[in-house]
Amino acid sequence: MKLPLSLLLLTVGMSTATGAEPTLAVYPPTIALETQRDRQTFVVQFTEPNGITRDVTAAAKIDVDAKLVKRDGYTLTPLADGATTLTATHAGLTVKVPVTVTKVAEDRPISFKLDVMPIFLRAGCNSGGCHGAARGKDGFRLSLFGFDPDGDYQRLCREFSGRRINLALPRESLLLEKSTGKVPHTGGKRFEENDEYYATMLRWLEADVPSDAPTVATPMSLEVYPPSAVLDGKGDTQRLVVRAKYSDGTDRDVTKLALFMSNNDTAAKIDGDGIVTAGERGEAFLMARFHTFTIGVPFISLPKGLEFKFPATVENNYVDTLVNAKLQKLRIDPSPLCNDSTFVRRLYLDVCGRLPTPEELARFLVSAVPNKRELLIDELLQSSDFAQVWVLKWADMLQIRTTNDVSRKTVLLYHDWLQDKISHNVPTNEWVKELLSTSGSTFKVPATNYYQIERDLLKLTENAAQSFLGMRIQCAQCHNHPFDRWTMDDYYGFASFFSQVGRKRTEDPRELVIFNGGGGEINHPVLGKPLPPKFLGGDVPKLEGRDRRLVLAEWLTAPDNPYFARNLANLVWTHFLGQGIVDPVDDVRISNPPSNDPLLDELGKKFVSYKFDFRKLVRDICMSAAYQRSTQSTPANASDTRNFAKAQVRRIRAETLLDCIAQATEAPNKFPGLPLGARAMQIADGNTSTYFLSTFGRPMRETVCSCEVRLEPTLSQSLHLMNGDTVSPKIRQGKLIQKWLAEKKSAEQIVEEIYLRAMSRLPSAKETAALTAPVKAAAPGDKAKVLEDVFWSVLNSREFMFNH
Amino acid sequence: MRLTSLMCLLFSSTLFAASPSVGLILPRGGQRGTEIELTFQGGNLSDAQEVLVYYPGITVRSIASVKPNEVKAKVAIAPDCRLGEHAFRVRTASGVSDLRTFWVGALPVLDEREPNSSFETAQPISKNVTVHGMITNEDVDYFVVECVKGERLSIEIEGMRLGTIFFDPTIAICNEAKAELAVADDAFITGQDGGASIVVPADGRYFVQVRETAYGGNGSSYYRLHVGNFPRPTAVIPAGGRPGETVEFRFLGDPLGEIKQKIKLPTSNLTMVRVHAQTDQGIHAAGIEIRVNDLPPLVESANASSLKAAAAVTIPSAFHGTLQAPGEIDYVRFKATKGQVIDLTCYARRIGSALDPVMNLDLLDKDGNPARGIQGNDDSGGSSDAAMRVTIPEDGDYALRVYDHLRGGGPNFFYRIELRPPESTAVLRVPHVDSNNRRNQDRQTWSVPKGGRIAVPMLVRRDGWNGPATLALDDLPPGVTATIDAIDFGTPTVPVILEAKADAAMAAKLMRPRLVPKEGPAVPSPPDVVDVELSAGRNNTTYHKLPTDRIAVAVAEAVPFRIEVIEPKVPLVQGGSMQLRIVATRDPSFKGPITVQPVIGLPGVGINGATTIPENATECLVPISAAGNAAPRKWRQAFSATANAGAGNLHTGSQLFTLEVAPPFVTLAQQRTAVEQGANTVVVCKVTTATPFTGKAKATLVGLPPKVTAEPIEFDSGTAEIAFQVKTDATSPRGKHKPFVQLEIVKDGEIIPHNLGGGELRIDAPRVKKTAAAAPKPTTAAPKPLSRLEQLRQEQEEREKAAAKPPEPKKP
Repeated sequence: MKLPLSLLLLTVGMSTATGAEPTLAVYPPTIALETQRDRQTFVVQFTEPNGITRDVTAAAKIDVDAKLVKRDGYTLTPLADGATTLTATHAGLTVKVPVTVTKVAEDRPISFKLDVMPIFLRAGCNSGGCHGAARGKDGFRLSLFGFDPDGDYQRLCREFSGRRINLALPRESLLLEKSTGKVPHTGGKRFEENDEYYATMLRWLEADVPSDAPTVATPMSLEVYPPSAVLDGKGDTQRLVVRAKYSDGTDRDVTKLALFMSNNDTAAKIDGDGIVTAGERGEAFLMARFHTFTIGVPFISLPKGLEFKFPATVENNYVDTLVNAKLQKLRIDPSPLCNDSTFVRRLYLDVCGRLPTPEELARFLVSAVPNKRELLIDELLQSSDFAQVWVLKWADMLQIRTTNDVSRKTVLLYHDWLQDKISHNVPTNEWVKELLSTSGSTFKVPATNYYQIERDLLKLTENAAQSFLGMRIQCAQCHNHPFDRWTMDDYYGFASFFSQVGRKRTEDPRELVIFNGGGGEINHPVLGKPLPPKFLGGDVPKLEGRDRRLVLAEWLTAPDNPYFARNLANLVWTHFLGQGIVDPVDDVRISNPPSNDPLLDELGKKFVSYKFDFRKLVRDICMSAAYQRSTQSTPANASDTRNFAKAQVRRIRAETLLDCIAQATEAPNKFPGLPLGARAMQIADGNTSTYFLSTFGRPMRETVCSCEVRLEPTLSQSLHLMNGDTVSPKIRQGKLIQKWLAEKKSAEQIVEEIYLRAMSRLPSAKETAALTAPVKAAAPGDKAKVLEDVFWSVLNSREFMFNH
Repeated sequence: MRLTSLMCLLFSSTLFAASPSVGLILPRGGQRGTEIELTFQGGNLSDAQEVLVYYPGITVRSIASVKPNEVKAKVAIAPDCRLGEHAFRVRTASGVSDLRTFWVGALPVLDEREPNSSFETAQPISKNVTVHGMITNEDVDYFVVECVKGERLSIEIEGMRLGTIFFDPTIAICNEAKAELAVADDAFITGQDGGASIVVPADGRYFVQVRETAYGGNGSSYYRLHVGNFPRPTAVIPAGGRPGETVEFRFLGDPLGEIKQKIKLPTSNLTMVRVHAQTDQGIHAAGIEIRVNDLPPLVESANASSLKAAAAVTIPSAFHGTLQAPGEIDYVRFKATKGQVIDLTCYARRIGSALDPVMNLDLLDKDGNPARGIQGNDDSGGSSDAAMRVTIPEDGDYALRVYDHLRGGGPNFFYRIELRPPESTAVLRVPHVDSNNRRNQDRQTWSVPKGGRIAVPMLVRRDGWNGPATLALDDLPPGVTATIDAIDFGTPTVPVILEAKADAAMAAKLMRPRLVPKEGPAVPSPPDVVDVELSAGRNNTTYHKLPTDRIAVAVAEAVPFRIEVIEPKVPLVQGGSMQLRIVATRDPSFKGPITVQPVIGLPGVGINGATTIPENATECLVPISAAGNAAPRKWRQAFSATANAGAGNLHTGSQLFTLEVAPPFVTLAQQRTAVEQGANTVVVCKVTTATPFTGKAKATLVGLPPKVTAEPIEFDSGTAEIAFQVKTDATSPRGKHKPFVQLEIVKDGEIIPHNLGGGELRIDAPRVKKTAAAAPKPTTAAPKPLSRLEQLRQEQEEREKAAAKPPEPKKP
C-alpha cells in the first residue's frame, strides 16, 4: 500500500468530545448478594461532555427496594431474597442496575482460604519484608504473598502446637494479640479489635480453625471499577470498587481485602481504601491486587479547567490514528514533522545502522518527488544493512556468544543461520518455531544451539518467556509473582515444556546433539510433583507423544497467540521510536501496562496479517508521522515521554556508533575473525569486544534481558571519545583532511564536508565562521592539524553521538 | 657441513647426545609413483642414521642431516602405495624420534601461491591436482578451475587429519557469480575435514574456497586440497568382508550415481581397511573405512525394514544394511539359547556413516511379534555407535531393531552389525608419561644403550579371559634381550627390562608385542600399542591420532651411568616400611645427579616417585611403605634412571627385583590405659606371634605426648605379653593420646620394621579430694511463675495503662 503524500489524511482539529453527550454509569453493572453476610459497594461515575469524569456517588439520588436490601451510603447488604433494581439519578440522567438477593437465610461458613488468607496479604503479613521472607520473621513464616495456603495453615495451626492458636480462648491467640498489638509485634499493630479483619479471624478461631475442603471455590477473575477516569485538577477524587468472581459462580466485594497501588503517584495517588486523588498532570495506572490477580485501570489527571483544542495533524496511517487518539485523550498536541536532512539521518541510523553518505544525502535532498520519504524507506528496507541490524538485535536476545562450552565454530554457524533467516525475510514465527523445536547436531542444525547455549531447564523456561513473550516470569520460580498474574503453577507448567530436552556428545567435543529425550520432568517445589505442560496463560495441551517443544513452538508462534505478535511488534516499535509501548520491551506485566494498548494491539494484528513479515511492519512504523516527528517539543508535550508526541533523542548504540565513526573518518575497523572494514554490527560472538564497545554498553549477551544494551551516557564515554584511541587515531588513519587539502579545498568546503559526513547537514553560517576562524589563523604548515582538531570537535559533539 | 660433523665428533667424547625429536615433516604429502625429498624438522637430529618407515610402499633412498634440527631424506613412493596417512620416525645414534605423518595421494601436488585471498586473485589450477597450502590467521584461499558442463567436480581436504596442529577447515565450491554451490565443513567419513562433489551445471570457471571454520589459522595450518573429477561416494555396501576375499562393493552417494567395484581385501590381520572407489575419472582420496574379519558377511535384503520379513542370521555373522529413509527401522533376527552370551556391535559412525545407531533386542513370541524387550543401547565406549553384550534369558527367536537416534535415514546411513560370541582379546599399551599433554610422545620408544639396559612399563589388560600369560617381544634388534616375568591375572602394569650387548650394532626395529596366554588359544595382537596423538583442541581433547601396533626399539650409544637395586632380603610387612638401596655406577667422565624412579606403581605399596642420587654420589635410599591392607604377595619391580649428560636426558634402568609384602610377624593388642598427671602406669600389649623369629625383637612405644616417657622393651619369639612402664609428670598434657608400637625384628641381618598396636592413653587431671557436703538450704514455696506470653501481655497492659492517650488506630 503506497500512499502518495497528497492523499494523506488530514484530521481537522477538534476538541476531544465535541458534540459528545454527558453520560452516567453505575459500577458494578450488576449486583448479586448471596448469603446473609454478603455486601456490595458501588460507585456512580458521571462523564462530562469534555471527557472529565466525576465521582457522584454521594451527590446522585439512589433508589433501591428497602425490603430486599439495606443501603448504608454506598454499601448494600441483603435483607430478603428477590430481585430488584438500583436506580441512580444525576444531572437529569438515570441508570438502572439489576440487583439480585439469594440465600439470605444461609450463612456462608468461614473459610481459611477465602476469608483468612486475604487478610495476610492486605495487612502485609506475608510480604517479603515480614513473615513472607524465605526464613520468615521472628520465628514465624508465611508463604510469600500467600502462594502456599496449605503450608500457611500448617504453620499457623500445627507448628508449635498451641503457640499461635488458642482454641480455648480464641481472643488470646497469639495470632490476634500480635495483629492488634496487644503483645509486642515487630510489625506493629496491623488492625483494631473492631475491624472486620479481627472479626473474621476471630470467627475462624471460634469455629475451631477449620481447614478448607479441596472443593472450596477459588477466585477466577477480578474486576476493578470504574474502568477509567479523567480527573479534573489536583485533589479531585474517585473511589474504586473491586469485585472477585469465584469458581462456584458467586462474587464478592473485596474492596476491603484488596491491596491498592499506583504506578505513578505524582499523577494519581491511591489510599488503602481505594480512593484515588489526582495530582500533577499525567497518566497513572491504578491497580488492585487480590489473590493472585492484579488488575489495573487507567486514570488521567488534568490541570483544573484545562481548555484544549487538538491541532490539525498529519495522519499517514493507522499508527497515527491510534497515537493521535491517545494524545487527544491526554490533551497533548504532537510536534511537527522533522526536516528532510534529519529524517534521512534518522532513517539510515535506524534502518541501516549507519550514516547516510554525502551522496545518499544529496540524492534525497535534491529529489522533488512528493513521496520521496516513502521511496527511501522502501529502498532501505531491501538493503542488506537492514537485515544486519536485526541479526544483531536477535543475536543479543539469543545470547550468541562463545563460552567454555560453546565453541567459536558453533557460534559462527548459529549466527550464519540467523542471518540467513533474517536476510531471506523468513517469517519470524517460522524461524522461531524452528528454533524452539529442532533436533540434531549443533554443527549440522545450527538452530539447536539455542539449547546448547542455555542448558539449565529453568533458565530456558524464563528465557523463552522473556525473549518471545516479553514476560519476566523469574519471580514465579519461588513464589507467585507479586506484580503479575503468574503463579508457581504457571511457571512449572511452562517449564515442563523444556523438561525433556535431551543432549548428548558426539565424536567432536565442540558438538552437541539436541533431541527429544521423551522423558524427564521438573517437580513443582511446593507440590513435590511435576505438572503437565501448560501454556502461559493458556491451556494444558494434548501432547500425544509429540515433542513438547514442538507443541510449545506451535502455540507460541500461532497467529492467535495473544502475546507473541504483540511482543515482537513492540520490539520493532521500540527500535524505531526509542521507547516501547510497553517499556522495557521484555517486561510485559499487568502492573506495567502499555502506554497505548489499542496501538500495540493493532500493530500485533497487522504483524499477524502480514504473515509475520516484519519488514512490512517496519514500513508502517517508518511511514507514520509519529516516527517522522521532530524532537522539538511543544509546550503541551514537553513533559510527555510515553505517548510519542515528539521524537526521542537517542544515544546511538555502541556498535553503530563505532561504525559511524569509522564511516565518517573512512578508517575501517578490524575485529577478530572478520575482514578489515567489517562492521562492529557484524561481530558474531558476543564475547568479542573492544574497549570502545564495552564503554559504550555493548551487551555481553550473558542474559536475554534487553537491559544488557546500555544506552545511558557516561563520563568514561566522553573521555574516551575525547582522549581515547578511537576518534583521533581514526581521523589520522582515514587521511581525509590530507585528501581534501590535496584537492585544494577551502576551509569552508572542508568544514562542509565534515558536517555532511558526520551530521548529515550543512553547517550554519555561525558554525562555519566559528570553525574556519582557527584554520585561517593557523600557519600554513599547521592547517592540517587544526582541521583535524575541527573534525575531532565535530565527532565529539552531542549531535553526532545522538540519533535525533 | 664437514665442520658440523667434526664438531659433533669432538663433543661426543664429553657430551652425550640426547633423544631426538621430530615435530613436522614437510611437505605434508606427495604423489605416489614419484620420488620426493622430505624434510624432518625437530631437535637433536645431527646424528641421524635412519628413517623408520611404518607402512609398505615408501622406500628411503638417502638421508642427510643438514642442521642439528633438520634431516632431509629422499624417498620413493611406489605407484601402488596405499593412499592416505603414512608414519615415520628418525633414528639417531642416541635414540628414536617422535612418530610423524606424511600423506600419500594419487594426484600431482601443486603449491598454494599467495596472494589468493579473494575471488579476484584466485590462483588458477588445473583439474586433478592436490594443492599443498597453508591458512594463516583469518586467511581465505581461493582457487579457480575451468570445468565443462556435466562433469563431476570433487573437492576434498586433509587438514585436521594431517595431524600438524588443531586446524578445522571449511571448503566450498562457488560459481562465477560467487554463489556457493557446495559447502563442506565436517564429513562423516573424514571427520573435521570436509569434501563435496557437484555435477558441473554449465561450462565456466569455478572457485574453490578454503578457510578455517571459525576464520582461525596460523603458520602450522597446512592443508592438502584435492580438486578433480574423482568419485566421492559417501557410503559403501557391504561395509566389511573377510580377509583375502574379493568383494564387490557398491559405493553410494556420488553425484554421478552408484559405483560398483570389486576389491580384494588384504589377508593380513588388520581389522579396519580403507576401500577407495575408483573410476576412469580418478580415485577417491579419502576412501571409506570398512571392517575386515572372519565373520560370514550378509547383506540386507529389501525386507529388513519389516520385522516379519527380516532375514534370520546365524551367530556368528556380520549384517550389512542401510536405513534408506527417515524413520526407518531395520531388523535382524536370530535364534539363541538360554545362557548364550552374544556381543552385538554396530559399526556406523566409526566407519563414516551418518547413522547414530540405537539397537534394541526383543524376544519374539511364537507368532513372531515382540514379546518383551531384553536390552538396548545408544552409545558405547565413547563413540556414537551402539554395542552391547547380551546374556540370552531363554531359548527363542530374537529380533535386533536398529534405527537412527534422531530417526533419520538416507543413502549414507549404512551400517555393519557384528553378532558373535565374546572374543578373547588383549590390550598392551606403552603408557603416556605426561598425562597433562597427551601429544607428548616422550618415552614411547625404547632406546637401549649399548652395554646397558632400560626398564620400561607396559600396560596389560585381558578381555574375555584370565590366567597367566607372557609378553612376547619377538622382533628385537640383534644383540638386544628382554627380561619379562610371567604376568599374573590382575597385574595392570609390568616392568620390562631390555639389555643390549656392548658390541650390538646400532639399529632399530618396529617390534609388534604380543600377549601369549600360558594355556588356551592365542589371542589376536593388540592393534594400538603406542597411542600417538597428533592434533589437540581445547582442553587437550584429541582430534586426530594414529595408534600403532608397533614399538620402535633401537640400540643406541652407551650411556655413562648404570644403576642396581639392592634387593631386600626381608619382606615389607603390611603397615610397615623400609628403605631400598639403589647403587649407581658412573663412567669417570660423568658426575651429574641421577634421578631414579619406580617403573610401575604397586597397589597398596607406596614408593617415593623420584629420588635423586646427588652429584658425585653413588647411592641413595628410597623410602617405601605398605598399607595395612596391601595384598601379601611377591611383586616384581624395577627402577629407571634419568640423567642429563650434556644435550638432554639419557635413560637407563635397574635389574628386575623382588619385593615381598608379607603379613606382620607379630601382632599386638594394646590395652586402653588411663593415668593421672604425675602418676605412672603400665601399657600392656598382648603379643601374638604369626611368624616365629630368632633373636630379640625391640619394641618402642611411640606417639607419646611430651613429658611422657616409656622405655623400649626387648622380647623373644613366643612372648605372650609385654608391658611398657609409662611415666608422666604433673605437666604432661591432659587428654586422649594414641601411642602405637614400633617393632624391629632382625632377619638375615636386615631389620624388618613393623608398626603395630595403637590404642588410647588418657591422661587425666588428678582427682580433687572431697570436702564435707554443705547443708541443704530450706526451700520456700515460690509463686507460680508467669509464662512468657503472660509476662508480655502483662507488660503491654501496663504500658497501655501508663499511656495517657491510646495511639491513633492505624489503618492497615
